[in-house]
Amino acid sequence: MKLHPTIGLEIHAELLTESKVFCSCSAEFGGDPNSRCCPVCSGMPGTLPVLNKKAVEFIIKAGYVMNCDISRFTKWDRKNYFYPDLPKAYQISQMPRPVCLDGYVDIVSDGEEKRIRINRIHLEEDAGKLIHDERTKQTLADYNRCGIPLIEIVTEPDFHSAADVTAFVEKIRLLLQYAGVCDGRMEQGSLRCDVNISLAEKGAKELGTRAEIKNLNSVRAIGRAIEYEIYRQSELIESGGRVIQETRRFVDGSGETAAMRSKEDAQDYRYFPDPDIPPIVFTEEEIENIKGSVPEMPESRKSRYVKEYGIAEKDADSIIGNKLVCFFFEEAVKAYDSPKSVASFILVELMRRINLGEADMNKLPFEAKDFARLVEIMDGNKINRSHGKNVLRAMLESGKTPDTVCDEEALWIKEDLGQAEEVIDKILADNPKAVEQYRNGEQKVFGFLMGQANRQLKGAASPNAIKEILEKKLKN
Amino acid sequence: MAKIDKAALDHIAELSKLSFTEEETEKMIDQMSDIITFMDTIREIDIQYDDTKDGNQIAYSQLREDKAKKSADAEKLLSNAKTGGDGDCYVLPKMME
Amino acid sequence: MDMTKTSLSALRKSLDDKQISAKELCAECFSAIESGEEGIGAFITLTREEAEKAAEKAQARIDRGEADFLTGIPLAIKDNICTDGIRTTCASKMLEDFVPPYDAAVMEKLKGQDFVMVGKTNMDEFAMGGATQTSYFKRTHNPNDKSRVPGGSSGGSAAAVAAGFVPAALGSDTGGSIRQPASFCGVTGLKPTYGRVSRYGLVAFGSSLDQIGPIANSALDCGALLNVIAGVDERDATSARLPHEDFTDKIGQSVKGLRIALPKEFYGEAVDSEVKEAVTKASKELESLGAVLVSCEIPSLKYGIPAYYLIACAEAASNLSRFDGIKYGLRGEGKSYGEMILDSRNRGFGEEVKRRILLGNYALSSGYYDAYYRKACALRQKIKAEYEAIFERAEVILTPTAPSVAFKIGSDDTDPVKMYTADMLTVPVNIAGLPAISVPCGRDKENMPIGMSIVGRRFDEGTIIQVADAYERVVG
Repeated sequence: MKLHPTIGLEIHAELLTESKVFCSCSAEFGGDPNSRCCPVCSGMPGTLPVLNKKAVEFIIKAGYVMNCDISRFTKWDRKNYFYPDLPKAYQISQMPRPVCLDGYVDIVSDGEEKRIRINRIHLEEDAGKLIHDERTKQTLADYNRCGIPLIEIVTEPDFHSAADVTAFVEKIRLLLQYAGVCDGRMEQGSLRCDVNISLAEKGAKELGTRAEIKNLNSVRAIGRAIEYEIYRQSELIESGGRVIQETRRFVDGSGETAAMRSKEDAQDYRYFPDPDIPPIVFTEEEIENIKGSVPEMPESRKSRYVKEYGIAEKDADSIIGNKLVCFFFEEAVKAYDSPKSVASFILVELMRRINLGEADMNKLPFEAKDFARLVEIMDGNKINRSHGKNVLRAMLESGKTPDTVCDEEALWIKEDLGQAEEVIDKILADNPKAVEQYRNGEQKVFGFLMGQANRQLKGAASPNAIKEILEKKLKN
Repeated sequence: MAKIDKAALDHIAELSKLSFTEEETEKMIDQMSDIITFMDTIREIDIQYDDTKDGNQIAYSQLREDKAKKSADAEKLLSNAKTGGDGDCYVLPKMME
Repeated sequence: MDMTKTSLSALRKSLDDKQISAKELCAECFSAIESGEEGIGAFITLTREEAEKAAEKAQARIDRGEADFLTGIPLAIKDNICTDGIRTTCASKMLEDFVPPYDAAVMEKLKGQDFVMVGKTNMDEFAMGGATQTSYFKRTHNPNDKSRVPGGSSGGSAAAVAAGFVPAALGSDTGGSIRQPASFCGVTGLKPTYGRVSRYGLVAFGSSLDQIGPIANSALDCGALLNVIAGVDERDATSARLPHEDFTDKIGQSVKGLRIALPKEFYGEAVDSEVKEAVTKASKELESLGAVLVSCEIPSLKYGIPAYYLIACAEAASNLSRFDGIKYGLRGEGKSYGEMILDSRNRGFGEEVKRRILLGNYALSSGYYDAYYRKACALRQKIKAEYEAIFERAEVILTPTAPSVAFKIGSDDTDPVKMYTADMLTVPVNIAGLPAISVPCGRDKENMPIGMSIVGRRFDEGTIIQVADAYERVVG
């Protein structure tokens, strides 16, 4: 009996708005406990929520990049449950009329292209944070996170392996980042994932009983949790056991999932329309304007790089794989229209500095056009290519422009052709044997002569010029 | 027929985070049964609800602009919490993990 | 000075002409309260010190010649309207010590004019009741006959005006809570159109039904007060974006040709014959002024009470969930969060509030939502449509405010269903979100006041105030 996993996801993504979704407190991450709160988000009696326009714009963008239908009529509901991180004892969310419905996202997993259907995306508010103090036997509540706008992306159960899921999550993260609606920082909790898994025999009409693993906050954890859960459920079923419908959590240390405190019966959230928030209607024009403001998505950029720029697919993948790198690349290409060399210098030299921790893509001390200028200088043989990476390092350290660095370090090649002719004449005169060998067809001695010339002409002429002169003189 | 039995009352009491003594429970079962019997008069009418026809919708353009304002003074905000300790957090008995 | 016979504009003139100072006027209120309050119980909190300070500030403004309409005018405020720094209890043990850190929108508007708040008035706990007998603190007595109820839930505000403690007061109306106590006490009460007055800072009962409104001695005074408290508020998304208007503008215009609808269901068997006679007589008076009486029907009125209670209680159950002992309000005992929250709510809420929370959660719970809550929403649409049909044929509707005059204290305490049905004539107006004003229209054999309600089209407060004023003039 071969058991086949079926997996569905709920992804929560915090939106990058300036203020919270239902009040004007700052939506920034962190802060002293309860310092980013007001009577509204701390649930004072008599207060009312007022919906943030930007949050609605952002969920429409998210829906657009995931190919969803955008509802022309959308409304908010109260999800009622008591928990101390939820000051109103209801979460404002959306039930029957979410902003986005019926989308899809294509992924590549195990070398195969797959289409994952999106059931819905809705806009809701985040809850606060609880800190459990062992010593005082108390729980402390901080409501700073209450009211941070969240979108919940619900997929259809279209995944059948951990690899499918991780590819999807990576893709979603990238799409949201490119759309500019979520920073995708899983380690800060701005992107979180709940996974539903069930096992059944392949081709079985009905899905098995599913378990839900909550709050996975790294791609690695998602992959490991799914692998473990597939293992756990198969073992259970194959040994004659039965999977029970429950909520589990992933224990990072052991790599296992564990049942969370069991809920006796299914929660009854008593959803009903929030009477404080009027339903929203959109005009076609409003929706088209929002869609039109979404920047180009990574897939389209990639194919452009491959087709128009002739960049290798693998390199194009690397560039689009990080939004900051990609945007930097495009800026640089605007300044110096030589995408292949810009890409290569980014992927080889800049990424090396970043991977070594010497630089941070978020706060480079120079602009993309400065970087482009450096590549341009190298391509034009204005400096010795081997000096390029040193100039880059100096730029990272000081923030100076490449021209300033080359000036200060006297790296410019003078291109003194008179001197080059003179030196090369002398080299040829000093090495008559080599010259003869070359003229007899022994091409490899060219390298030897070239090496001599390069060494003696360093800084005076570019390798290209030297090569040209040398070739010309050897032919005569 | 009583509309509400003890199990039903217990269930909605749990949803409401309320609990009742035995005596209260009996009285509440009676009263809630009467109330729900009365509410049941609406069951006889057959009409459908269309949530798009409430006429209370507003335009997207009327939504609040995304501008952060100064938050409230945490001390004043917390002044009604009976926490007896930690200044800047709300305090409750320890939750189980 | 007999406050019950002095209009707000007369008080304004006395203050501006320096016939009386704001401080003296304030002192008069407190002396009236001192001599009369004990047998009435209109107030939960008296704010003499703050009132005196406010009077001083108001006087300075008057002296500078910068007085606004309410500068120096003493008013009482229902105790479910949040007042910064002054406790706001909602007549509940739950909020016995609650001191809001902010002002309700209406408070800001009143304070902006430097009014003088005399105190916070008694009410049914969380505005749930029609007799001001469910208050945790005290029962309020009807100034016309102290053995009778003042009506509710704004019974304290109505009684304070009727007893001459203040010239006017604010109440709130979810299902008749301004109009019915005004009727029982023989004063005038106005429930504005839903959305006319900001609900920000009104502790919510039924959010889609609640409105704040004035209780005063005349339609003119109600209109003048509405002028101050009305208007769009960016903190209440359900507040209507309409230009400012003067609701007393139409006063004095002839009612000739104005069509007054009399829906037959409001004059049925459940209404006391003396009440029917008084309202019918009033309709004849208006007819004698040239108004046209139109007969009509509201067939769904019989479903009004259940639809209202299901919607109001569903919203209330959710609104009152935030009282968990953590952030404010009664803090229960208990070793765990679960014990603590139960104890907080068990001890903090009174019996009627608990019944309504239970009903609301029942109506929303899984398996019952469609049969109760959703059906109630459908009925709401039907009742609205029936009103709209009438308003195609008439400018206003005239009905009795309550089926009877004020009843004896203690006579309605036992049977919740009986208590609910007493609201049948007022709740349809809230269901439809319409404006209505209750005006005294005579007394019964035992000399208890009878009230009639003039109901208008949405946002047409001007016309109902005009008609009410015309009636007041004709009967003297």
